[in-house]
Parts: sequence; structure tokens; C-alpha cells
Amino acid sequence: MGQQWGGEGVLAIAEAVRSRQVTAVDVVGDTISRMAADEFNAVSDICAERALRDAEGLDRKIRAGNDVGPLAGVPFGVKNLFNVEGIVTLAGSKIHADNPPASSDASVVGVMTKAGAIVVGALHMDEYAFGFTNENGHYGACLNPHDRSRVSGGSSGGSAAAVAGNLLPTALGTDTNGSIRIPAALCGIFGLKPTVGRISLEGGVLFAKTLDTAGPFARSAGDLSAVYYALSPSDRGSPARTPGAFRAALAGGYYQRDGEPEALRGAAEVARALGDGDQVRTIDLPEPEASRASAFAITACEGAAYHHERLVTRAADIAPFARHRLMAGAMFPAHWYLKAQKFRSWLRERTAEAMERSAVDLVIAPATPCVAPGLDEEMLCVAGTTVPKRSILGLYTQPLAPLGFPILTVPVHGRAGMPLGVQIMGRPGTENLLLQAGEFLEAAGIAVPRTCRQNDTDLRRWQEETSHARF
Amino acid sequence: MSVGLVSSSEDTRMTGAGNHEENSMIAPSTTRKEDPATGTYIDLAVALAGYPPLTPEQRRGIEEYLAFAQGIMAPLLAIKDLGE
Repeated sequence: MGQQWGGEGVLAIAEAVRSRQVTAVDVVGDTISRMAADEFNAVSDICAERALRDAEGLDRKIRAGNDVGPLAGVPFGVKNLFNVEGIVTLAGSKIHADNPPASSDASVVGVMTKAGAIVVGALHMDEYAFGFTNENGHYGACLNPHDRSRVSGGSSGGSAAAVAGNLLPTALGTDTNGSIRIPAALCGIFGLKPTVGRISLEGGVLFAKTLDTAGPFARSAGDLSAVYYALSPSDRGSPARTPGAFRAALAGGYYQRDGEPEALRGAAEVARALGDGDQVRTIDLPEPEASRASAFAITACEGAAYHHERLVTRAADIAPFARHRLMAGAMFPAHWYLKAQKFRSWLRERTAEAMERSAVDLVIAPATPCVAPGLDEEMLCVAGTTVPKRSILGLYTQPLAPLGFPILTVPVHGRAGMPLGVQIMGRPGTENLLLQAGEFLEAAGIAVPRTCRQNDTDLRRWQEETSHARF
Repeated sequence: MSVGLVSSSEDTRMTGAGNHEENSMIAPSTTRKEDPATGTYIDLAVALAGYPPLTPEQRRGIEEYLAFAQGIMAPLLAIKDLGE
């Protein structure tokens, strides 16, 4: 192995590789070592041979004076529902384990590699993306890097834990009802759920196709922006901040109930920082309980339809949590689904009207009602009420899902050393504005990413004892 | 039309509890002397969904989730006017 890489972020790596301070091969080699020494059960598979080959090719282009893209030499991983050539796409399922490795990359992987990034592996997730905790019945729980007795959040938990745990500078996940926002919050990093439809899901195992969207995780707002603009370059020109304060308001009512005080306080601090002066403006979003119901029905019905063949032929090979929910989804009355979809149109119009009427561009809400729960807890006491862990985590993310609007999650201080997250939602196509808000909050010390390193002794020992050929 | 239905009684048979009802293929028009709350609704839906006979664990899991679904869906179903 050549020069040691200390786990820098996206922008630092790209600059160092472009300016030949470090080779892509060195960066990728070190990343492979980190991933192989994964202590969080975040890594599903590593494509070491391919990654090193791609890195060598990139270094050659740089030496030849070619432009290799904005993410030059940046290693990344993807939730293991996106195809990565040479890796079996598991989608968290035992059923897919016998499939051959993917013969081509998913669209998002292709876009990232065209921008100069190097795909290094695939990351753990809830089975078929159904879950908010990433406690997978087949492959185990993904551990929270800040306290390994707690969940990482899900369903993109492997992606979030790998970034927060410093295994990777960035990773991609998907969000249907909160699967980027919840693990970003519980792991203390930035996560972006782009506008639904903005990023191609081609080459991915879907969950609920009218709600699904793909997005990045990173340890800084600047890194997150760099990755998002690589995924969607045209969004650099989308509506941005006008001079002066952001036009932000705190979501009231439902979004101020049933959460721990620090979760509600975090959201209020973000709204205050983004707003104009000490007064926090509030906005009431229409029908949050019905909105959550619509997301629930659409997810169950579309998920059941997507996995129908597997449910009929191999139900026993799906772990009980996802199996029972997906099977039940096929039994929902059709009018539930149709009403849920009709409601979405109504909701989008009413929400846009409410934001317009209140002169608000950004709506602020807590991401989760509490810090990461323990692995062995099924029930939690949140704000004085005992509630099931697996559903309470989606309390504030799921009602926003039917809108399909872009939502940035920024990390804030939580309790007992554990992080929390705050959602910042904009109108469709305003990712640029959200990312500017994230960078503003980070610079102001309001958004505070929390990362940790693995046991360096273990990492060094592993580096001495193994080689990349293992993979 | 004959639709394969899995009766609640079959579940007890599968668990070895024993019963005297051996019909595992019952047309939907067959009169079932069951309280709907005990699973008739699920039996119909299971058949229409194309699923093979459920294990007792699957039945319990699905029943619990459908009960949860009814609760969470109530606010949406209560909205009457969503326009055209």
C-alpha cells in the first residue's frame, strides 16, 4: 500500500487526486482496507478488484492530463439494491443470494463513475427496504457507529453507518418513507432525499415506485452538494437563495407533538438560524395524519405488487417483518390505494398553497422523535408514551413522503452523545436551495456532523494481515 | 368459480390441534359459520392474492398488520371531499 489516506471527505479527496498529491489507487486501497475491517455490519460486499482497476485507469488519465470529473478518485458505496457489476444485488434478501452477480451497473452507479468516482462496494439495508431500523432478519443488524448497542436507522442504514463510521466519504441510498432521512439523523450526517423522479432508479430493486427516490449521504454539506451535483448537474442552476435570510418556517401542530424535547428543540434551532431574527415562524402543513396513511397504503400496495411473485412462491424465505407486511399489502382494498393516490395530488396542491401563502421556501421539521433506539428494544418510551420502535421512527418522515418534495436532513446534537437530525423541505426542484441552507447551517455551527473512526489498532492489524486479493 | 380458501380450521390442523373440518378448497359462496373477526376476510383475500396456505405464524402476522392498517388509515378514509 502506498500513501496512507486518513479518511478525508469528498471534496478533499477529489482535489488531492486531481492535483496528484495522492493517487486514486492509494485512496481506493485504503478504503478497501477500512471496509474490510467494518465493525458496524455496514458492508454487504466489496468489489476490490474492479475498484483498483478503475482507480488505475483514472490515475492514468490524470497523468495524461485528462479531465476526470468532479469526483476524481472519490470512493463510494451503494445500498445493496442498486446493481453493481460483479456484485450480487441482494436487496437485503436471502432469496436473491443465489442470483448471479449483476452484469452491469445501475444508472446512479454509472453517473457517479462518469464523474470520476470509484465504486468500492455495496452496503447493508433492511430486507427489501422495508424498515426504519436496519435490523435485517438474514444478515443481522447494522450497528450505529456512535454506540454499537443501538440501531443505525434504516432502511439505508449500511450507507449511513459506512459514512458516519468513516469507512467511506459518501454513499448512496434510497428513501421511500424516510430511509435516507432516518439513518442520516440517527448516524449524525447529512442526507438528501431529492425530488421524486429527479434521479434515475434504473437498475435498482424498487420498493414503492411512486414514492422511491435515490440520494446521497456525506459528512459535510459541501461534500453532499458535490455528490448531488454529480448526480444531477443541471440542478446547479435551480432556484437558489435570494439575498438576506432564508424564507423558512417550522412545521407546527403534528410535527411539534410526540417527540423528545431535544428533537423538537433541534428543529426549532434550525428554523431560527435560517429565519430572520429570533422569532421562529411556523407553518401548518395540511392533514399530516392522512398524509402518513396515504404513504402507508401506497407503500404496502406497491411493495406487495412488486414482490408478488416472490410472496407467492418463496414467502418462507422472507423474514417475518417484511413478509407479513408485504403479504398484507396485497389484501388492502383497492379503494385505499386509489384514495391515497388521489389524496397525494390534493396534498401537493394544498402544501404548495400553504407555502406560497406564508411566503415560505423551506419547511423545517424533526427527522426522528428520538435518538437511535437500542438493538434489543421493541418498545420505546418517547415523550412519555410507550410506542413500537419500528414504526415510531417514521413519525415525522412518512407524512412528508407522499409530497415527493426534496428534503435535506442535517445533523444536530441529540442526547447522551447520540445525534439527531432535522428535515428541511423545499418545493420540487429546489435541491440547490436546500444544499445552500445545509452549508449555511454547518458554517454557523448549527448543523454538526458526528463521525467516528473504527478502532485504529484493529484496522492496522487487519491491513498487515490481509491483502486485497481476499476479495 | 372455485377459489382455494384456507380456513381457520386448516390452521389448527396444521398446528396439530386437530378438528373435524377437512375442507381446504371451499368456494367463496360457501357459507362459513365464522365470525368475520376470526379470519373469513383474510381467507378470501389470501385466495385472491394467490398465496398458498398460510402458516399460523403468517396468519397472525398478517392479521396484526391489517388491524394496525385499519387504525392508521382512519384519518385518510375520513376525508370525504378531495375534489375531482
